[in-house]
Amino acid sequence: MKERPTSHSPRISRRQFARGAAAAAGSLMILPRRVLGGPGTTPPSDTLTKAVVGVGGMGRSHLAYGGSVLRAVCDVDRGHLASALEACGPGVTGYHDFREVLERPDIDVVHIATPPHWHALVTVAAAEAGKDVWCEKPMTRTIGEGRAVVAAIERTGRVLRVNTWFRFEERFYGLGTDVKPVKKAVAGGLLGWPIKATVSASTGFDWKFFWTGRTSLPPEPVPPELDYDFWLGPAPFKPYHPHRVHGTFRGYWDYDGGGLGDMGMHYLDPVQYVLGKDDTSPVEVWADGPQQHPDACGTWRRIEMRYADGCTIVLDGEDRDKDAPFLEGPEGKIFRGFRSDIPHFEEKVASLPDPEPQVTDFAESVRTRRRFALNERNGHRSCTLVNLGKVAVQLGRPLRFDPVEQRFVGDEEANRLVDQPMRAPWRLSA
Amino acid sequence: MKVLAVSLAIALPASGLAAPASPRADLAANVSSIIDRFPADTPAHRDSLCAEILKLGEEAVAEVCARVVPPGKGDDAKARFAVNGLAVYVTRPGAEGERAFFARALLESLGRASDDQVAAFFLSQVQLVGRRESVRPLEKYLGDEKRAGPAAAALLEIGGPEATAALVAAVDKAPRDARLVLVQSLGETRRREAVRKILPLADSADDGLRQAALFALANIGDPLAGPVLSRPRLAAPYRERAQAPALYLLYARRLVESGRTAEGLEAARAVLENYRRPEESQHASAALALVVSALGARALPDLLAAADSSDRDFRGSALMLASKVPGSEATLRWVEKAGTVAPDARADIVAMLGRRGDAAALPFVRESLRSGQEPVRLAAIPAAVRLGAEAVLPDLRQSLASAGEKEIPVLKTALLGCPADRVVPLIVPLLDASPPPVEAALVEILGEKGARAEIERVYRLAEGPDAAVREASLRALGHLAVDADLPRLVAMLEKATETDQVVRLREAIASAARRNPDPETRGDALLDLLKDAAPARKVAILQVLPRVGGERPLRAVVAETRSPDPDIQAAAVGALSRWPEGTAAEELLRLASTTRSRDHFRSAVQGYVRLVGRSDAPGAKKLDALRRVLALPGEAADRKPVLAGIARVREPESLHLLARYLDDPSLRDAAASGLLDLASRQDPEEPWLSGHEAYSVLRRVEASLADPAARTRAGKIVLDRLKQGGFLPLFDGRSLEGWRGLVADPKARAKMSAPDMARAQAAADETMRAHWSVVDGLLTFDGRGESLCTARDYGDFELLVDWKIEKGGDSGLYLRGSPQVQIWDPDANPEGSGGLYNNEVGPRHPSEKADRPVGEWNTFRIVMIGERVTVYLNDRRVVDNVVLENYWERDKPIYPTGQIELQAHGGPLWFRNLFVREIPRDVPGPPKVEVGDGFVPLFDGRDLEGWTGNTTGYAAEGGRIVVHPERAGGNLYTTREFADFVLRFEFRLTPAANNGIGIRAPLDGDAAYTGMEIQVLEDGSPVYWDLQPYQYHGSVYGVVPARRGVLRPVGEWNEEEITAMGRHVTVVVNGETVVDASLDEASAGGTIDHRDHPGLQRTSGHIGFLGHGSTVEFRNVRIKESR
Repeated sequence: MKERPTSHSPRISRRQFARGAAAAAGSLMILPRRVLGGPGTTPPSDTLTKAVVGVGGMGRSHLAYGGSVLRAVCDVDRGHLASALEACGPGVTGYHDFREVLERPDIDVVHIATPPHWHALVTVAAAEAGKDVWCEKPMTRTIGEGRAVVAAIERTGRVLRVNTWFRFEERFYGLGTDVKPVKKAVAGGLLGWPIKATVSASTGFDWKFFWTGRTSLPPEPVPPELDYDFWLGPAPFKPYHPHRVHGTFRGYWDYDGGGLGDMGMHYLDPVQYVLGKDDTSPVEVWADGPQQHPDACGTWRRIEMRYADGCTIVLDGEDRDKDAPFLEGPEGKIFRGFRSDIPHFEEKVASLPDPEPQVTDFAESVRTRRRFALNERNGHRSCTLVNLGKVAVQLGRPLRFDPVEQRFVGDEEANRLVDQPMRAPWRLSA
Repeated sequence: MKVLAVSLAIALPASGLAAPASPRADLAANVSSIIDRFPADTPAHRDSLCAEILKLGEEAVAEVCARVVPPGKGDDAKARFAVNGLAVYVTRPGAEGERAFFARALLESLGRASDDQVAAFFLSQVQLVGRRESVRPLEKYLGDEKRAGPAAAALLEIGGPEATAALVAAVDKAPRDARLVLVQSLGETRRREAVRKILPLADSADDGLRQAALFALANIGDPLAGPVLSRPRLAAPYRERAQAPALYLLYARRLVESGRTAEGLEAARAVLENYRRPEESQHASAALALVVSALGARALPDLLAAADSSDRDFRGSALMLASKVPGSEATLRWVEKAGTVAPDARADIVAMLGRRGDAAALPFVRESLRSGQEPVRLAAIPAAVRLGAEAVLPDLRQSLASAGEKEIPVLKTALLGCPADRVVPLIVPLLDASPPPVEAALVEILGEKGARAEIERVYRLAEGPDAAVREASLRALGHLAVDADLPRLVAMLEKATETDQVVRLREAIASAARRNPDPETRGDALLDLLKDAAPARKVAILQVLPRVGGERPLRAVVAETRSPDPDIQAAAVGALSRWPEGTAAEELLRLASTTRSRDHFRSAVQGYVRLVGRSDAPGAKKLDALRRVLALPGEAADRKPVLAGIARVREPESLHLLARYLDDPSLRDAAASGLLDLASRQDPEEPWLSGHEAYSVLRRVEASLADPAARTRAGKIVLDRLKQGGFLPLFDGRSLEGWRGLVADPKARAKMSAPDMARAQAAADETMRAHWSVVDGLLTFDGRGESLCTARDYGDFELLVDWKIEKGGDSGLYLRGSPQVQIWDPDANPEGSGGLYNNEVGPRHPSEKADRPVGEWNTFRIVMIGERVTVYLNDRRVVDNVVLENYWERDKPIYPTGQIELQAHGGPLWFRNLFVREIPRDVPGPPKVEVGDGFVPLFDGRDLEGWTGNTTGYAAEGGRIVVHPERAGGNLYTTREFADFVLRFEFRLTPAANNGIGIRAPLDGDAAYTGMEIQVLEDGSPVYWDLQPYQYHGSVYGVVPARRGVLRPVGEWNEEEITAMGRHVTVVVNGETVVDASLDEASAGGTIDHRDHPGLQRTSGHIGFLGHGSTVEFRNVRIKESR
């Protein structure tokens, strides 16, 4: 066996690392008031404060998101942490362990931009610590974790926003139109019912198939700045390779789910919104594609899902039908760019009632304690579309799903992918 | 051993020799042939492959499992695909027998696994397929620290009392980490029988174990655990105390779920009473949620009481939970409650009543529209619409009359939520009677509702006195206007003076024109107005046309670019440069090449670059398009946008193109910033950004930057790219970390005892610190003292280093502890630096002098693979793949590994930018055979049977064909001819290596012309910077260009597939298609290299390796013929 020399990158165990980090941060740590004693807490000010957990790729964008003041950043990669701290200036404290961030009573909102295998754990812990949450997509890596998040958020009365915005933002993704008139047209019955939605490059959504994993990765020394064991957290232990982490983690089932896992919510959430399926899930899912490696995500050709009322969503990875409409009902179609085969379409759409208004300002949502436009409930349902697709791709057989129980029907192995045990000591209370 | 047997079993029949095969070898061969077809392309294909394996029986499954190897020990992807494929296949509904059979076989393989990672993989598959019968075999792994985790996960998925019993039984004997896993897993099972085993651990002194135990007890929810969970330990860490209420509530929830409602409620109420403070009210909320779930409608008093809370979070929770108690009776209680609370809380209740959707609340909500409190009114508006729909429109009309600043947008949203036929008649009468802010909102509603019948009113308001109303009206016109309105709108635009007004009118005109559903005639109405118009009107219309687009408008704009009126011409050029469709690109290029105006040139170039950038064309096509602008005559500075456009095309070629402009003073800055943009990130499929060409170019960029902050940024980008390419810094710029003083030579060191070595090293380090130091970020030597060595040894590597000497200076780099790559004063030594100075047999001098003058920085790139060394000095190759001789022991080859040393040779030295990339040595993978798919080996791995030609310069070594150019030149050909085929092979290059694959070639003549040559070239090497694309690796040499940037770093194995079918050739390198071309199309009208290629017409011929004097290796050469 050829051992790669590691003298350039001394491996620090997590325990040593944590001790060092705690000692360094000790003098700066703000202890919760209950520990300090003294008079009651100060009343909440109008300015929200936030912490960002995970400041690698996406996390850097969260530093700048408006509506709140940044107080803390957290990352298990010292390199990421240092460069985030450098970018955000004074008044911001760096942490290695997100649980120390949650102990700070002066933080209102926790932004989560870790890889997806951490989303549920950090969200639930934040909710139980009384924080509101702004979480990156995909909301959770499995359907089971999604249920745990919904339960924790609702139980603790917290506010959650998932970071995809195409159900309310103008010009969502590649469709080239606002979502509002599409929603009006569908809700107003212009297309008839049921509706088939096609998500493909021709309808404006190009699946990011280059986000795949690599097989047979040879172990490499862990870079000294990374606490790899913490990075893995609830995921099964696998030897370090740089392709597993930072950016390319998207290609591995343990942490995400390839282009579908990572981008799926962006594409599918507006479809769910337009179809009015925010409180349910498909009853059938079916995938066609090459066999999947147990560790590395690959590509797929086509995934189809059908709701109980006959509405279907087609994820066309090959862009086979270049003329496919984005939405197709028995009475009309809507194509990319809001083109339609319905005569006087624009006028008809304009005269229809607008959809129910949504809360699209997260700070307002936090202050008024009203659900954000994309929240734990509908976010979990649209993330379920993603996770259903992932399971179907991994198993390659048609599956039936019970949208109430949120379990597969008559397929025990599929259900084993709904809930996946976490590596100790990480756990999620459902 | 097994692997060897397999390879023989496959290789022998293929090479034509009959060999008696044992049954064992038969099975292995069968399994190999099935495994090799993984991964299946479709689920059905996967299922049929899995069925084939199962048919071969238990031994076959074991054989498949045996091919799974620990990470880093080879490529076992196919085996893992097969095992996981089986797991998926056997769990299809109705295959219980196969599932049980596979689970058993899997567990047996698990028992044989000696590596933890292999075991973890098998356990993860048991997790998918195991059922009750798998519990017993899993028990033995629960006591193992590394395997307990995946084993417990498998048991959790299997579930049932047996799994719990297994976990319980293992707790006492398990080591600490495993015990933690077991306790946690028992918690997840939620089975009561685990409680007694866990209870004592709740008082454990071990924090981790105690917390796992407390969670498990809470999650199981047995009353036995009540006392333990209700008293959080004061001595416990803060985090544990902070989590205590959440755990206690979890426990309470489980009690309620199991029917112990009274006990659960008691616990919930305890939390509800004690955690009311704002910073911990999430616990009270959770407790309230539990009370509601336990009591249902009877929880209403609790909810109503919570609404009194001054804590908005807690109140918000209560109001969210209110939906769990439905019914009009409850609604009326809330209405009653709303009358008794503070305005903020009242507003929250009104909003909740709206969401609740119970019309019983409508009278109250309607009344709230007239509340004296603004928050209440704001909440009442959407609530009223939700409850009363259009019936409340008259109320809203009243609200509009007195609406304040905050209410107007809320009212507008509410009105938009109603259908046009109800809203429009309601608001039209209000238009003239409302204050301006309300009027503005109303007119916008008319627009959004498409009330075309009211357009005359809107026109009138658009000319009115109030600016906000005017703006809203213009916006509304954008929604309402059609072609027929264009003359009127254009007339308004001509007269408009305010910027806002102009912008809105242009948008309105464009929208009106775009509203025409027929793409053929879209824009015609505007073009009619353009005809014979006065200059001012022409200009106004030309400015709008780019927002309309279309073929006819484009032609009209192009015609006006030739207008004699300079204003019209300028407007037309501006319009063309902003054209939305790619069809304008050619016109813009024509304009740029004909115009005499520098302004027009610049506009045209900008527009062209924008359109090229937006097109869907492949990167290479975009670059071709941009090159056409670069070729135009004109001021260099006007080409800056082109460079920016090139930087947005993420192709290796862009790097190359931009680098050329680093020497052009007027474009240097644009090129530098483009290069930095290009290199500021690197996707996994862009290895060329961390290659040495990029390194060298980026260093030049860095040096060209005057601003220190920009230089730092550039330096960081270089560092990031190097890191991504596998380079690690040898010098941190701050300290001597990673370096040691020199202790004797390798031969002497090998004889020293460990204590002697340690003593000598300490002394040497002391000397090192006296003479080597870091000054201004440079590694500096004072000229006295000894050499500096890396703290560790290196085998095969690529080394980057900048060095500087004084007049008369002398130094060198020792590789693997041996002298040396020479550094010296080029004035005193005209040969120059970089030579392997101590060679006696091979060349010892560089092939050219590439030094910069003394006192300037020089850059080495040194690649050492095996015993051979290639040296680039300042991007010139001065040593080409030369054997480094062993100076210390002349009779031996160079040591396999050793330190890298910076030689002290009198006189001060400076070094910086030291990076090393280790090149993994060849680890033989499993043999590649694709028997099932009709591939046969072309090379048996042992000798050159079946090959002819230069069998001296090519040798079979260790399963590879190795080119030894120093032995003899010439080509190696197959003895047979091949016509249509798929050829697959792997190859490994040395720096700047050149070879080629001849196909359909005769045995004589230059195969590149008498046959075809598929280029094999380390085309990333700096010596090949000026290559043509038809010379890149993979190209059909001289005929079909290839895409560059897909080769792996030098020293790593690459995979290639060449398919020649009739007139079609494709070349796939490392999974990327670089050539996909028809020979007829590619050579129609002459080949790109303007040479004669008679070989293109041949239909069959020999396959050959075409030597070009470089060391290259090939392996796994195999072919499938098409007949």
